[in-house]
Amino acid sequence: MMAAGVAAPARVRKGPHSSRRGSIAFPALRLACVRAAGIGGWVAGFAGAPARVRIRGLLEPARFDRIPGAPARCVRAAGIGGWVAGFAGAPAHVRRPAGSKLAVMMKLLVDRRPPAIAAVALGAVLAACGGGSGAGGDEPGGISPQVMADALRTVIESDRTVYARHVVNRLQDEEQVIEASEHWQDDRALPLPAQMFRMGAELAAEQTDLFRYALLSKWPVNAQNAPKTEMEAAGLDAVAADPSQPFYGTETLGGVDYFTAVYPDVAVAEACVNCHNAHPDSARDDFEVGDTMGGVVIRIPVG
Amino acid sequence: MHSTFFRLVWLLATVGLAGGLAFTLASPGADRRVFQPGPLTDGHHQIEIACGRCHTPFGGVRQEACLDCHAAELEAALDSHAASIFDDPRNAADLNRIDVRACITCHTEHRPEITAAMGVTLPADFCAPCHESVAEDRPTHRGLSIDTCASAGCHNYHDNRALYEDFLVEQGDSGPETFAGVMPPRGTWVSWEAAEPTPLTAADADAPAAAAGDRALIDAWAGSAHAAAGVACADCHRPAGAAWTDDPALSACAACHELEPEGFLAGRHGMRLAAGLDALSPAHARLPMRQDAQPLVLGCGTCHDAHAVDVRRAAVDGCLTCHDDEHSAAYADSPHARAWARERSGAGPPGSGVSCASCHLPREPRRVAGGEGVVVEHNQNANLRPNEKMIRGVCLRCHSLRLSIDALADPALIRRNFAGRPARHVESIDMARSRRE
Ligand code: HEC
Repeated sequence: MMAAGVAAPARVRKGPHSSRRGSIAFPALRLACVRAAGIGGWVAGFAGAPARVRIRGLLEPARFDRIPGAPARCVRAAGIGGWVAGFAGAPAHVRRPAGSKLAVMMKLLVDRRPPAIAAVALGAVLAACGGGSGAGGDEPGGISPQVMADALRTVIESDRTVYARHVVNRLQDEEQVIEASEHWQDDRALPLPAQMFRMGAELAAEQTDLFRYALLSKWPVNAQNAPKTEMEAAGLDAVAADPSQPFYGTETLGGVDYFTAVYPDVAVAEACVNCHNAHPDSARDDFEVGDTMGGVVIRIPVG
Repeated sequence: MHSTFFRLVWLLATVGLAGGLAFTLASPGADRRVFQPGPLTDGHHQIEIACGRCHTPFGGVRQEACLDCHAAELEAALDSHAASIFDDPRNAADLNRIDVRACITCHTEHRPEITAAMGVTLPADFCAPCHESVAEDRPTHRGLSIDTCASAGCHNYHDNRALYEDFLVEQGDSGPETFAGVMPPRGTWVSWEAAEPTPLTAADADAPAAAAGDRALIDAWAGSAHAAAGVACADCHRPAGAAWTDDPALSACAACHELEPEGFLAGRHGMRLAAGLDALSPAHARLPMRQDAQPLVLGCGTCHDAHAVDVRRAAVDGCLTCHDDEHSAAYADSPHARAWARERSGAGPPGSGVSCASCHLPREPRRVAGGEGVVVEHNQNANLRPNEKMIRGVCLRCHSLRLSIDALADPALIRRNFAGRPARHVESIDMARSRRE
């Protein structure tokens, strides 16, 4: 607003825009209208914030689906827009020549500002109402997404196998020193292999958004680990049918394009099947060692 | 003429208003509540004039602002809905409906007209987007309304340490409803400067003559744990060689007592100090407080008499000096108070009494300096809301899980300070057990 005011003189000096003045048919009536609109806009703008609260109260949703986040922002922006319009509108009636410096200033402001200010206000409303848009992923320079996914999988799978065989299976099932438990903090026990996996994936995600990985299954213990996207469902089906071949595809999630790879997750130890078959939440109780129990899904954002 | 006058008035008013608001906004010490779009929740109104604790200069709220104060407790609660769980593109569709990674999705401030318990500003069926079909997997949940998940005593959104299924099954019917348990013995963790403190007597009091007028104070101190630990007047009243003060600041206590002030500053009682404001006073409170307590301000000395160091005063009398709500007023006639009286009179064993502090500032086993110790949790909020937070650390010491869950889900019983029996039975333990049969 200030910037507009400061910029005005230089532009207007090129030639005042006074042509529209002739179109005023009923100066007195119009004067009153514009003045009223100006004061109204100012009041509305000033009252914008509290009004928002009242209006949102009215819009209070009965169901989750109708949270009025955007309308509230619109009302707030409209309030501010109204105030700005009031600033522009109130002096707009002064379209008659006047001698005072203030009047010249106002005239300069008025002659060109209202459309511009209206546009700015409208823009602000639209910007406030719109959501943010998703950002594209970076190009993984030089290495193809598939090679990168395969490499990541090698590391993930090796660590997972070592933890399952040489930590959980050895300490829990063979030497019976300590158990693995879902509530490992409470029970002072080992985290489950799946929890180990998830903790690693979450820690990695805090540090980079170059890739994401997750452990899923068509027969999950945790329902949140069931396939959620079409690509996940197709990939888990494919690696269950033929564990010798990884599954590759692309998908768009939250406005971002991903290269998505799915690899089989195989029951490498007795511990895997014993625990899953006995778990009250498990969707299957007939896993055998060597079975594909689920899949590792690796996603790499691509341009 | 007329229009020039109008223009002038309008311009002056706008400039004046904008200038006034801008000045208020820019001066850090100013009362900026005029910018508040609505009152804050009970958990934040104490620091309402510290806008910058939460807001960026342009009015947004940083997620880190929430986490600065709440991250530690969420981690301790093994947050069932930690943001990291959902921060995966596979959840994009769900997050588009409800972005549970941002605290303010569910906890919007300044919105009293839609704020429910726990500062939740979503409609009560907020579990629906992800858990609407729960009854398909769990027949026990058939016919239950989705807006009661988190309000019936069965589940919490963040803290389910005492409510998760395996815990319910394991603890479900262990032992009688009430048994003769005791609280762990109190521990005090102080950092000693000297390895072997030399006990002091009244003759060692090193207060300047002007301040040492009160003989009774000196005598009380001489019999206190402070004198026994070699802590003389100047150690607290003239910390680090500064000028003598009659009211030592929290930092004077914190010089030796490290852990307790940490909790105090994290809770309601100390959060104003932690935010760089002056100390909380009962006059700031929304809860009913005693009229004669209004001038008090909260520091260590409000509850603890540093000269007598009688910690029992802090455990009940300290609280009741200010608190005057129904629950506090009902304490005197409660079974817990009777147990406290028995312990104080020597009729009950140490730790068998139940003071205000037993539940609200409880003694907790903690790993301190490499060993296992007991620390008094001075953050009153660590065990307060949702009240199931209390179950494991407090209630289960003397009561069954079944009774604890039922009692904490009965607001009328809580107002009576647990005089009587729960009016309703929460079926969560039965449901959990039925799935295992
Ligand atoms: C002691 C019990 C236990 C052991 C041992 C165990 N799991 Fe799991 N597994 C679980 C639990 C519980 C989950 C669900 C974790 C969660 O909440 O995300 C799980 C999750 C999984 C998942 C993700 C889908 C799902 O079921 O939710 C796969 C795949 C999986 N495990 C495979 C394996 C394999 C392969 C092994 C052996 C290397 C193994 N598990 C060992 C208990 C176990």
